[in-house]
Amino acid sequence: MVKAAAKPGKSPGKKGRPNADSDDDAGPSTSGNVGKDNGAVASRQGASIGQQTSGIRNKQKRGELYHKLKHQKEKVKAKERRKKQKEEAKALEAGLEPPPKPLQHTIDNQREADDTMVDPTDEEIMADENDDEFAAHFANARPPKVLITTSYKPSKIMYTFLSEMLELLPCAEYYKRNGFPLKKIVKFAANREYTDLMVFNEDRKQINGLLLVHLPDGPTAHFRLSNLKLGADIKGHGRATQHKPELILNHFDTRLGHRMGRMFASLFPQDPQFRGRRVVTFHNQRDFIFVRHHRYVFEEKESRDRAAKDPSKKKKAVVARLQELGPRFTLKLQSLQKGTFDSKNGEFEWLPKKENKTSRRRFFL
Amino acid sequence: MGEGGKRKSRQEDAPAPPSHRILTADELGLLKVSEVPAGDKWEETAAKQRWGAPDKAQGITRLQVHCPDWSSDRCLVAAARTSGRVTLHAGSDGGDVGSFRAAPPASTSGRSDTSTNAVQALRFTQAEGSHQLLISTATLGGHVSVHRCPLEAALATAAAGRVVQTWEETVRLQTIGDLQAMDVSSSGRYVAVGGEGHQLKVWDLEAAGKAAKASSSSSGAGADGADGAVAKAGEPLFAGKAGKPSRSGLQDLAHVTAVAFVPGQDDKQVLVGTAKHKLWLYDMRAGRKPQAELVWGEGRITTLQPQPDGSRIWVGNGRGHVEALDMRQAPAKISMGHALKGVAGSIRALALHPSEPLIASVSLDRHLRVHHSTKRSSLAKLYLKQALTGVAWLPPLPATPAEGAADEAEEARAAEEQAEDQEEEQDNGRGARGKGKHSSRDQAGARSKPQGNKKDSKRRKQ
Repeated sequence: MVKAAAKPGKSPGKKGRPNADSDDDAGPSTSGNVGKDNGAVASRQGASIGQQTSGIRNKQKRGELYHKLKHQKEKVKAKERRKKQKEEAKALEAGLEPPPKPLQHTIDNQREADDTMVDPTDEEIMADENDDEFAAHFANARPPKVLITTSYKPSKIMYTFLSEMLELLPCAEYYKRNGFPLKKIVKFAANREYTDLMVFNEDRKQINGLLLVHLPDGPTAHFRLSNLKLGADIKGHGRATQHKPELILNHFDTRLGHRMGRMFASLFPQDPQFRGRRVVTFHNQRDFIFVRHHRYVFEEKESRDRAAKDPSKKKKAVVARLQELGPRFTLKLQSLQKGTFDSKNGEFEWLPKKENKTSRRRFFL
Repeated sequence: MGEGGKRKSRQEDAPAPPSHRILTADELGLLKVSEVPAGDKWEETAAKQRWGAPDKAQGITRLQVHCPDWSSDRCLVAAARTSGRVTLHAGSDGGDVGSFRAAPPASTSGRSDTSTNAVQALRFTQAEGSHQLLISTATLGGHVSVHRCPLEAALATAAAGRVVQTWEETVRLQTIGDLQAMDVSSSGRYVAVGGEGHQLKVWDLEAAGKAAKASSSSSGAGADGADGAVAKAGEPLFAGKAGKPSRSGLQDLAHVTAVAFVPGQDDKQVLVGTAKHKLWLYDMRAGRKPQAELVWGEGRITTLQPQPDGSRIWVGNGRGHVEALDMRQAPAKISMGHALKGVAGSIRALALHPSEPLIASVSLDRHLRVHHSTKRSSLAKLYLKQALTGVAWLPPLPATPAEGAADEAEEARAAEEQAEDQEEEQDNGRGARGKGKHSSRDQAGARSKPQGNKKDSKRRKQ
């Protein structure tokens, strides 16, 4: 703007000093034409108030304008909000459905489209999964038998955690690590017909890793384990029963996620005992897998019916209540390797790479 | 005529023929053709055809395409299966043109264990002056065999006049135990193998052929038939030694995972990649130890893909890294560079375009990727649903006989469409017109080749 104004000044002019009061340096002028300037600036759509006013170099003027715009914006917003509330109340009074609330934007629901999302009717993928490493489990041909072990020198917290893991997994057995290298353990376990091997890692008395190996041909998944809370530390926790639990696998939707889901499912028997009302959840959200263990109960509950005028009348409804059994922890996939454990020179099916995590809205599971 | 129908349907999708065709093979035994729409629309790359039925027992381990004059009617695709068979297909529509067994016959192996039958390597070779096309294969059990077929018969893969060829075994060689990699020199004379527990070993196929059939005076790259099988190979021509031990004197266990002859070095230089992420350059003239050594990355070296001029060798590893090894100053100095980004899983195969600076890679993350090999930019990424094991470039399909003319003249499009219609009507007469089409295509091929060379030279200057 100043540039444009400066040009006529340079030309041998009819007017001697047409823009004497404009500054020489770039940027909006600090005096006189602020109002006009604002008009031009404010008309820019989409710019935030800060962006609109940041060009003004006079702090006082800038502040004034800033607060003025801010006030206006808040007013408009409040008006809209009140309008919406009124509409909603009106609709409720008329017994109509209130207008839908706008969906809140979360990273999860703004997730970038992934081309590997599994279509459950895809024949090709079905053909692949009908013949993969977990196919025998899902065909009920190979009941799960899980071997649990630890890193070389586990501490006390590991033992309490393992006792809870043994309650969580109905067909798991614990063996001491006894200083054996992992590759040998994989061999031993495969020879003894174990279907899976779980190795928990501990670092400075914190359980921080899980290596999950499907036997005998892999794959091998390595997880970071975090936010561990032992069942005993959960308020109002219960004790698990001996029943075979139900399994919930949430949002394992991509091809990689599907594979992980199948891997987790193959740790549990295919025939849950519903009598036990136990449920183990693997919930994937933003590539973090939340592991929870609950007991549920359906209860018929009586509550006061607000709609009915008579206070003595009660409404009956079936409600579900949950009791957490624990442990609870979060897993994050670090790598998926083809075949059994060989982290040095194995072939990886998936590795997280910075170059692939191009956006915080991009997820792989 | 089935092929005519296919062609028609494709033209409904995209009027112009695709600018590139890429063939991929996967663990489910499927061959998929991905096409890049005309005008190099890389974003619109899509899988257009699928050959074969899903069956894991017939999973493909290696894929090679032989197409000397870059014409889709003379293009042979070889797919090695886990069962130990090699199946051959036509490059235009995947039609079956024969198969042979690469693994040793079950009776001689004497065991029911078939896991060693998986084909670990597959190479086409054609000796100079010979009219035989050879396919060398190596199985996990170390069984190297060479099959042959007359060149013209093997390449007659056009839909019309396609015959299922029989491939005759010429050389059979039992090499090392746990074979992981094999390569055949450009002349087809030497075969280099390596595996778990074995360093590089090179055999002379000609000598092996002679030993098999001592009576006949053979010449021309072991092309003569050998009816009697060689159970055991003699001493190898060359046996490599490991590189230098580490500073603390520790030596890696021998585990060769990739082998490639360096082009243009008179079949004397071999590059070897190991599971312990080392690259060793052997020179058979200089000695048994590697002449140059390079430690690269952290994962197992899975594939080596030399550029035809030998200036660079593309290397892929088990952690999804691809880089090029600069061989211009070899063996005095070899260095890595030119990384291609974006791969999330182990690289299973790389393929260079014969004329353009393009490199295609497939990996266990189930994606096909195409990069520009000089600019390194990622051009295309395509999800192909299965764990991919092989990739190769296919020559583009000529859409119409008038295609050659269409290159020069845009305004001829309407006329071209008319011609197409005519052609479809006259489908029956195609056989008669086949000759003319061939010649025009050959010309097109000849025209494109010098361009490619120009580009190559440019690249070298850079």
